[in-house]
Amino acid sequence: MDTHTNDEQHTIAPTTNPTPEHSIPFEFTGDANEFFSIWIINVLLTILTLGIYSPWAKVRTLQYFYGNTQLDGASFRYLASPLQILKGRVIALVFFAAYYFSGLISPLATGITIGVIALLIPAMVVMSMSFQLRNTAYRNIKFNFRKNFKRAYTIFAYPLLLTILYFLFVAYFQDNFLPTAAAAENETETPPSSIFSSLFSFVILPLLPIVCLFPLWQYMIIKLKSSHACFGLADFSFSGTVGSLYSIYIKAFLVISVFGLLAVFAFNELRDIVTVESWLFNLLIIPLLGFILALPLYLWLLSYIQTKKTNFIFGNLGIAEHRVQSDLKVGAMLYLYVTNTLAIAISLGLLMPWAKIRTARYRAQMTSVIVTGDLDNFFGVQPEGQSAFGEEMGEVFDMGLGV
Amino acid sequence: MAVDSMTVNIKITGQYSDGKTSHCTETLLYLTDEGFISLEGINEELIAVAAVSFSPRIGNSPRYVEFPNGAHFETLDNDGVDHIIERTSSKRSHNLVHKLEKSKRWVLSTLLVVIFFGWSFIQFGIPYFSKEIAFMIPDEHARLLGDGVLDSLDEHLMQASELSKTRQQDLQQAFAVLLDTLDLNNIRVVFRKSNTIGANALALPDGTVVFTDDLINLAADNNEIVAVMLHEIGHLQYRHSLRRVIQGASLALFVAVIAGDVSTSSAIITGLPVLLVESGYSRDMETEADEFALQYMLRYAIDPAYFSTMMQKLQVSRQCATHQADIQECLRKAIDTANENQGITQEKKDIRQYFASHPLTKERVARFKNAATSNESTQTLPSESP
Repeated sequence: MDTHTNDEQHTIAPTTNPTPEHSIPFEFTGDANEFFSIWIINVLLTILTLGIYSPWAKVRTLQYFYGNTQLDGASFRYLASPLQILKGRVIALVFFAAYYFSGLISPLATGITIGVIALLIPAMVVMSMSFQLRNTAYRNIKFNFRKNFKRAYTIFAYPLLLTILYFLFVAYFQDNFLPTAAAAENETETPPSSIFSSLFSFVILPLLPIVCLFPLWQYMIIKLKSSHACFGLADFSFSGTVGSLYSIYIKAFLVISVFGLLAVFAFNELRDIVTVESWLFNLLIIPLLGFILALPLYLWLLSYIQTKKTNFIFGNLGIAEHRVQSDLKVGAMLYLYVTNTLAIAISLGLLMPWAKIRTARYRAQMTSVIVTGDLDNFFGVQPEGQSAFGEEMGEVFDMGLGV
Repeated sequence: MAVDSMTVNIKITGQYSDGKTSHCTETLLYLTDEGFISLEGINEELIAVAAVSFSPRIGNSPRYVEFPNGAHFETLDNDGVDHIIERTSSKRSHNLVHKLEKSKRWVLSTLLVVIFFGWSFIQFGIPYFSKEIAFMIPDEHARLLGDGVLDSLDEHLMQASELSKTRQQDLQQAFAVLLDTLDLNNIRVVFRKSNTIGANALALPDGTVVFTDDLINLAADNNEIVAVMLHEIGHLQYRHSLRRVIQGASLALFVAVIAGDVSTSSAIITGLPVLLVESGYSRDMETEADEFALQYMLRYAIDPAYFSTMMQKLQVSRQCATHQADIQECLRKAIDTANENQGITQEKKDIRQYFASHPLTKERVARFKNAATSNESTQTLPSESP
């Protein structure tokens, strides 16, 4: 049998290149018409069952997208059962009901409920990741996630600590400096410059560490998620540095600042030239021009961060002697966002299946695996049976927090 | 038993993975006439079809045949797998969802049903459920929504009324009679001056009705103010503020479900349809409040023309400065000229109608005028009524 399968191997690996390292692209074979039929029937059944069908709809959709994503001649597979997801949603609903009804009892009860839910967030992130990976398979080998709750709680403690420090800082300064500010106000009207300076020292300055540390915190989460993932017995590794994540945010910040300064400068120039009645200029033209300028900038920022981050996360993944490569282009992603959004808005949602398919196709096209040798040498884990309790909850949570 | 001793019935190509390693083997899967499955070059033994499971068909995405030992066979030959299932299973119900998806007729009729459902849900479902929910909430809870609204309006938009004490008392007395007749004791009226809001009246969720000085000054007869008051009471009685909040939230949820998971930039563009729908809801509520006012005016023999006169005045009030001494004269002229050359009726049913928060004044006025003329109990028309 062994010799036989070795003969067969040459036909399945489309690797004409004999060198050990070669790039194998992902391929997406989904079809917009076909997916439209799947989607519309899902919508109908979900409506008719008052939403109970939605886990089945979700599984069907994901099975379609996973199955049509291929690498080296084999497809990915989504394995979650709809009942598992339904169970998770029922638990989530209970939490929501607890939150809602606690409001009717007393504000304290609401506070406690929110506190409990907040305390569960790090666990949910871990559960969600675990649920996703354990329910994904490729070549009949399952992905997995080594759950590390301690690390997750440590990471989530940092922003909490910073926020508490921020409020302590603000409280301290209010006690010590506000009386003098009030006294100054009594004498004369506060000049605008002092408003800005107090805004700066009371709000922006103390917030600065929180803003500056945000990429670091995000990096920790990315690292937690990627370096605890495995495929069969093999662990994923993550080689991205925190510096490259910072450079993404710094570039975005610089571009926005340059455009912002240019806009302020341009408006000041314009104000001198334009002789129209000032109220018309202030009330109509400035907001309009501002909007026209800000919208593309906002869309660019959105796609820039999203694209570069995706490239950063996937492009730095490695497993065994293989590496993932992610080459999404900001311009192409921006074009996809804008055309998708327009198409969905104009068609009142009916072109959503088409939008999803073309996005998946582009993403697959731009992602590949640099394979050394071949992908035949991963070992599967013995089946463990049922998933741990509460992991289904992570599926619900996943809808709100995808990195 | 070996394959060659049996007649091969169906043959499909695909690849086999044993679940222990990521190695794939291109192979053939056979179904024999006797209902056994065999994998060429992998298993010499035959496996009963009953022991094997087939993944459901989803479009033309790959299909998986799962074996009891954890191995699987992946194939793109969906029709081949379907043949095996049909040949060996008595169940007619397999691939039911796929059959719906594949049928052009089903997909098309589903599309129509979904569009119809979506439309009627927005048109009737959301308003209906919001109304039911709004009336389920006890009165004292519902009124909490209005907490602090008057204070914040006073702080930002309104100043103390400049109406004389006697005028205010006179009006409060008229309102007291009205509220007494309607048996309502939890509504109060306040007067405010506001250059920002202009001639207007607001019903706050906590049961406070605010009249601006400008509106009071527009009226030539207390009955005109009473007519507006009835309209505002209509808003309060039907809990419009609360329903607006509930409708807004449900609509946002509905839109999020439809367009939510595609991209974040959607929010900008989905804003337009949401605005359209919400303006529609708002117009329906205005009509409902108008209806309330009309019913009470008819019942208590107040000429509905007072309402239509006031509506016309509010519409043309922008042409006359409200502090003018001869404001009534100015208004009368404006309304007369408007009526003569059908000025008021000149607002056409153009695109703006769909964005307006209130129904067209023309339609509202016509409704009350018709009611006034068809009303048998002929009242003395107000002097300045056209």
